[in-house]
Parts: sequence; C-alpha cells; structure tokens
Amino acid sequence: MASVPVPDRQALLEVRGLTVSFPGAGEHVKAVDGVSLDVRESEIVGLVGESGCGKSATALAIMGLIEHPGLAEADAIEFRGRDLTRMSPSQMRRIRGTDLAMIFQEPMTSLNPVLNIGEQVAEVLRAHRRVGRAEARARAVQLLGEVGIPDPRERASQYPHEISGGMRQRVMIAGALACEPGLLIADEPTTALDVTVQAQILDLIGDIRDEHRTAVLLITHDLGVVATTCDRVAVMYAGRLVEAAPSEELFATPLHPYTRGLLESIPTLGEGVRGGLRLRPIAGTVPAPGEWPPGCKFEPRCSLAIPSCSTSEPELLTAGGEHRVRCPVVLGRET
Amino acid sequence: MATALLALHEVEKRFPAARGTVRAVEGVSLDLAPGETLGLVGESGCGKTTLGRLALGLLRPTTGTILFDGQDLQAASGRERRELTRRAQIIFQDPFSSLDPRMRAGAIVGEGLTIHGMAGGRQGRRDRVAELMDLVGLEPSHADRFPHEFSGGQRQRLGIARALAVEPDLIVCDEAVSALDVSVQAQIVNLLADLQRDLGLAYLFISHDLSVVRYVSDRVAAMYLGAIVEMGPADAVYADPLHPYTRALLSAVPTLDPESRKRRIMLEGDVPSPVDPPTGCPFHPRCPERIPGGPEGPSPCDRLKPRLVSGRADHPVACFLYQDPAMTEANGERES
Repeated sequence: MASVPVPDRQALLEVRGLTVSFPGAGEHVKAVDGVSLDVRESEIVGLVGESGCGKSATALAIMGLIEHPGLAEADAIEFRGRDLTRMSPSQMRRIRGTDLAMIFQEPMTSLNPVLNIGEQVAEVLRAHRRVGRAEARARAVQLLGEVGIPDPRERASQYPHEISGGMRQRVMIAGALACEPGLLIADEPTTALDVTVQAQILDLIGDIRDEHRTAVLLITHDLGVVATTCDRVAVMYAGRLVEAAPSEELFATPLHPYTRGLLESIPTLGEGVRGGLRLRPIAGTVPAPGEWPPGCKFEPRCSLAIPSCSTSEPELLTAGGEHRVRCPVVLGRET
Repeated sequence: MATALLALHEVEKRFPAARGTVRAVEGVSLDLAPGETLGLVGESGCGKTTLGRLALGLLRPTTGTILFDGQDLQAASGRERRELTRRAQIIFQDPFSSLDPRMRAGAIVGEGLTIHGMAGGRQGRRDRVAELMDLVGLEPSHADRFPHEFSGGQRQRLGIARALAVEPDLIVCDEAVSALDVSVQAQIVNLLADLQRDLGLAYLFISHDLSVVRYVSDRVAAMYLGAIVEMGPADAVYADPLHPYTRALLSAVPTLDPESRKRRIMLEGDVPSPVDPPTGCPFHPRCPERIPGGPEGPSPCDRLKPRLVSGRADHPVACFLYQDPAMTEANGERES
C-alpha cells in the first residue's frame, strides 16, 4: 500500500484491505475486493462509481453494518487509531451515531414516520448523551436551526411527511451531527433531490466541514458533485479501487481508462448533439458481482487492453504524489 | 414552422386534491415541429410529466386545445384516436417497472404491431421484431428472453424498440435515461440521436438532468409550478438564460469545473405547493431578482402573473424584468 506520509494532517480513518461478500449461488460473491483508503481530519473524500461497484457496501462495512449472511473482512479499519474490526458489537454501537455518523439517499425511509422531527434529533442525544428530555429538545431545535431549517422551534413538531425532501435530508444531517462526529459518511445524500436543493445540501455539507472540522466520506455516482465538493476522490469499478487522487488532479489528468471513459460519457452544459458532437460511451456494461473477469476487471471494456490485462490483475500503482492508478499500461509500466 | 406536429394552446390541467385543486399545468402553449427535439426541464412537481401525458392524449386538458398534426385530440373519433396513439409513443424512466416481467422480449416489442394491425402474419411479425431489436442494438436471438435477463441499459433499448415498432412520429421521453449509469446513459443518448436522424422522429424530451437536455435538444422550455417560464433555442437558453429561475437552475448543476461552485445562485426555501400557488409570478417568493416596490408604485411581481412573451424573437420569457407590467394589466391578466 503506497501510503504517503502527511505530517500536517492525521488520517482519521484508515481502511486496509477491505473485502465484502454476500452468499451467492454456491459460494460467497465479492462486492468489494481489497479496498484501502484514508480519510483525514476535516477532509471531504469522494468515493465514486456506478451501480454495483461496491461503494455503498464499503460505507456500510466501515460503519459495521454489513449484516449476516453478508461478510465484511479487513486487515484493519482504524478510526482515530482504534481498529473497528476488533470491537465488540456494543463498542461499535457507542461509536456509531456519536463519532461516526451516516446519512443515506432516501431520508423518507431513514426517518421514523411516527416521531416528529424534533424528537428524531433529540432521540439521538438521549441515546448517546446523558441529557434530560427538555435539554435534548432544546439542543435538537438548535441543531435544526444550524442545518438551515427555518423556524426550527415550530418546525420541530412537524412529522417527516409534512416536510419536503430537502428538509428531510436536513433533519437527517441534524441527527447525524447531534453528537459532533469526527466523520460523516454520506451515501448519495443528494441523489433523490432536485438540483437547486442539491446545491443547498452540498453547501451545507461544506459548511459543516468548515465550522465543525467534520471529515466527510461522500459516496456518489455523480462526478460533478465530486468535482465541486471533494478534496480527494477514489474511483471504484467492480469492487476495486481503480484510481485515487486529489480532486483537482483527477479531473485535470485522469489516468485510468475507466475514469477517462466516465468523464467522456458525461454530457456537459456547453455542448450539444446539434453541433455534430457525440457522447463517447464506454462499450459494454458493468459486470455483475460474481461475473468479474479474472484479470483487470475493466479489461473487457478497455480500448487500451493488452494481452496480459486479461490474465493478471494489476496492482494499484503510484503515478506520482498522491495519485494512484490500477493500470500499468497508462503509466508505460506494463511487463 | 410549417405545420407543427404537436401544438398546445393555453393548456391547463387541474386535479382534484384532498384540500383544493392541484394546478399541475397552467396555461401552457408550445409547438413541436416534425423531427425536432424540445427539451422540457424543471424540478419535481413542476408539471413536466403531466404535460407529456397531455401531449400523448393520456390525460384530457381541463381547458385549452392540443393539436396533433393539425387534429384536435379531444374532438377525434375512436378510430382517429387509435391512429393518434400509434403516432405518439412514450419511453419511461424505469426500464424495470415499465416492462411486463412475464412477457418475452419479442412479445413486448411486437405487441403494438398486433394492436395496430401492422403485424403481417406470424412470420412478418417475427421478422419485424428481429429488425427492431437489431435497430436498437439488441441481439435478435434474445427475443425469447424475459426482461429480468437483460441489463438496465438493454431493458431501456427494449422500451425504445417497443415505441419504435408502430412507426411513430413523436416519442415522449419521460426521464428516459435518468435511471441509467452514465456510461450506459451515453449509449442510449447516442442511440436516440441516431434514430432521430434516420427516422425523422420528434422528441419531447422530459428530464431533470439539464446537461442531458442541453445535449439532445433543439429548443428547451423551463417549467416552474406548472407554467413555462422561458423557452428558446438550446444554445441561447444555456448560454444566456433570461429568467431568474432558469439562471438559478443552470447555476446549480454540479459540473466538472470546480470553479462552478462559486457561481451557484442559491435559492431560498422550497417550491410552493401547486395546491396553493403564490399570487402574481409563481417564482416571486424565491426570486433573487424580484423588482422592489418603490415611490413609483408597488412591485408587479406579487400582484401580476407575467406572460410568456418574446424578449427576443425566438426566446420568450415570463418575467417583468423583460416586459412592461402595464401590458399585463391592460390585458386584464391581473390575478389575485
């Protein structure tokens, strides 16, 4: 693992060799295969990829939320220097919701429909902190105000179905922030939202980092969200990390053929088919877990593939600085 | 424009709701020429899907007229309606729920041929299904497979083949590529462009994805709370959006340029309920460029509803920044 020493900012989360598998026909099928990544304090890291690449399973595994018969195994998942894989379920429960919090794509199904939004947030405080009912309620109202809910005192007594999708996501964020976590894992937090509301929520996530120094692991399929929000980015394909780099560098000099292909498939606001332009899609489709090819997972769709790509899977190679890529061909290092 | 393939004139659609009436579409007029793509953008609940259903004749307008190739959808006889439903088809967002899981691919693609009497016997139908599957990039030998045996992108190709089977002139694409991963989405967008070029199809392309709409459209209409607030050539609308809502919408799209974040125009609050829309301009409560009231008179924005009129020849906008409120008042369009 090419871990670059960073003297000024400590790694808050270090994932090493994470593999997640689920029972399939006969044997366990891998959804995540040997993923290693770091998140430093007050940093926003994007984990990006298409459906089925394993990005959500990675997030759930970090939270200790892969349930039987699914299986998460890792060399280590260190959070503030403590290995989460060695913790008891009760120790994990204490960390989850306090120092390590998570929000999901669909706030409607993540909120309790029979609790008003003030109670949802107060519940987190009462579960993890020794606070009385009135104090928890007062703090909940304060948190709802901090995440941009207007008239939080009045709104606190509304139920999830009475508020908009954007407001529900703000309530989720208020609950996640209640115990001032060091790391917030956000799994597609804006995917279900309209674009103007998405902009509001991404701004809020940026503000939270700036004001509370909360680190964020942002899981998304949207490269535009990554480019405008994240400090560093890791690209996943078929359970593997295929490229990782500081955000600006990744978009300026994408290296992996998959990353390049993704960037070329995206229509931009400035061009159209009427000018004779065509999108350049990646040929073929993403292989399903259990149908991954033996060599490089991207080889069947890759225009740069050479014979050795189909037989041996490349390592994640250092391309200079913090830029790593799982492709020897683009680096001219094929053997 | 000679004869519009689709022409909507002052179309309104209201639905009864528990507390009042949902004003889903409010006074929409638009034309679509043969072979043209009109992109319809806007956020959840703006009425774009309802407008698509109205264009297909799947919903009846509360008021207003809809002409398909010059023929009034409402006045059409049963036989004429059947012919109109053949000529206007739809592709849905979700290729998982819009295909019958118990029907084989060939039966799904060929069903319309039978309904519209275009099958030409068993062999004719089989040949035509194979031709259609080939046309959309599917293996014709997969005609005996079930939908679950195809990937998401392949299922969307099946939905396209089904729509093409009856040789339509218009396809309403309702979020047709929104559920697909970007690498697959690009394949489908290119396929739609090729089919349009080869078959002369017109598309009403409904999407919340502004980049995709920019990419496929000749003209674009932006909707807010049931009304079109701006409409014009795609190049003009994207390069120089006029309505404050269109400007905010476009600025909010996260692009690959990290600097774009700094240009975001943040809108306050949420879209109001279409059951109880604001008075005057529907956007005025959230509008960053609302005209303030002054000594010369009160602001027009919360009193009068601006009409969609031309600021520039082919780029009309419904906003008092570009039109004299007195014109609206004189025309008796005052709303309370």
